[in-house]
Amino acid sequence: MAVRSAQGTSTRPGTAQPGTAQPKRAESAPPAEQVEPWQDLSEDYRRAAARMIEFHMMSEIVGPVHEFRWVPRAPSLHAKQVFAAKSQDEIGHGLMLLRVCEDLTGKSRADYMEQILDGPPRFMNIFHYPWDEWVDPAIVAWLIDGAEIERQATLLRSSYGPYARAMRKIVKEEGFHHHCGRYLVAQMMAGTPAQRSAVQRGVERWWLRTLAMFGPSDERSKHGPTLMAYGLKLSHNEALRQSFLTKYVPQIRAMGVEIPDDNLSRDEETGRWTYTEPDWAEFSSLLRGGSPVGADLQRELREARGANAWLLAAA
Amino acid sequence: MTLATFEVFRQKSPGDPHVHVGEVEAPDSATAMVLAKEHFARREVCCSLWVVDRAAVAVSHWEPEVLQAGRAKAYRRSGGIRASADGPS
Repeated sequence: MAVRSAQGTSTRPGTAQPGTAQPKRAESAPPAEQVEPWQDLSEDYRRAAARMIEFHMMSEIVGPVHEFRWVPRAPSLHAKQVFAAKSQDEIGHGLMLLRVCEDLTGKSRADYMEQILDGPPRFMNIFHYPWDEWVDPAIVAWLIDGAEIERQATLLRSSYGPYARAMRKIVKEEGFHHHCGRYLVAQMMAGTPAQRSAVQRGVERWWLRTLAMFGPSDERSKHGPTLMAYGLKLSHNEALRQSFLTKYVPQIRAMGVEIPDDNLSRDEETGRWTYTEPDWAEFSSLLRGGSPVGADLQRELREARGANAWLLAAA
Repeated sequence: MTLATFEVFRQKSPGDPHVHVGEVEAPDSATAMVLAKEHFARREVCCSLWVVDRAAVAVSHWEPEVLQAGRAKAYRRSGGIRASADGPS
């Protein structure tokens, strides 16, 4: 299958750009449509890939601060173990993606550490909200990690080879997280009325944030069409959101939780969901300008880095 | 501290090939091995790991066409023969 470039011509990803030399192999491209960092990739392709992968990488490193804060506060030994392992997984994903970014852009680990600790907050919307109650990390693991799997499973076929390969491990581990989250929520639903209403409140808090996580539909998405054209991204945001709804609306209802959207309905013929749109202005303001909660995650990472400086110096 | 990139290869069970699974950055191979274990053997099936300094890996420089040339040499594959009562079977 050929991948369309951003200009709409049929070619291998990242190779054809107006005004740049066509790579020698363009005529007889190997059957694989994936490219490797040492190939002759256009600057435009590298830039688009870097923007997408750096965002994912920073999310995997900054986000777990929320999670490891919950390790000492989790209500059972099992829950502590789940969140200790989950934090370690997420940081591991971040480190794998950091390697992918370094090979793609030529920046060093030190450059990226500076960007992560002190740079602009380029990470997912969901980390900009407080995780104050025990139900918050549990619902994020259940619904957000579940939503992430929808998207990341398509990225196993992303045109950038090293990213697609890293995704194998990431998707598998997000699966563990989703199942643990679902289990922890189910435990609360089997508990006291106070626990059940905490879950209900939690879903009410996180519902629109979860739908927003997929990003706006194409007509509003700034970089989406380019990423799709390059085969870096394989599914439209709206298609992913629809498949999330198809899978999770019944799952949430089966859990005994009400979804806080009176407009939520499914057209039986087309299978398409109608739903109340998230606040896209809030979404873009978080992604561009960050939030006090997000800034606090970066601060905590900076402090951890400072506290470990003696060890790095000794190594 | 100078970091080097180490390529990590994992063997799932005895008799399997060691397959490339990713990379880690470390000051030396002993540290790289610890990081590789934490990254690639914590959740996964694994019975052995290799870490190889990327600087020690020689990479082929040929175009894919050259490496795939062997497939074009059709004479290497002889045709089949029909088995019969009085011929070889």
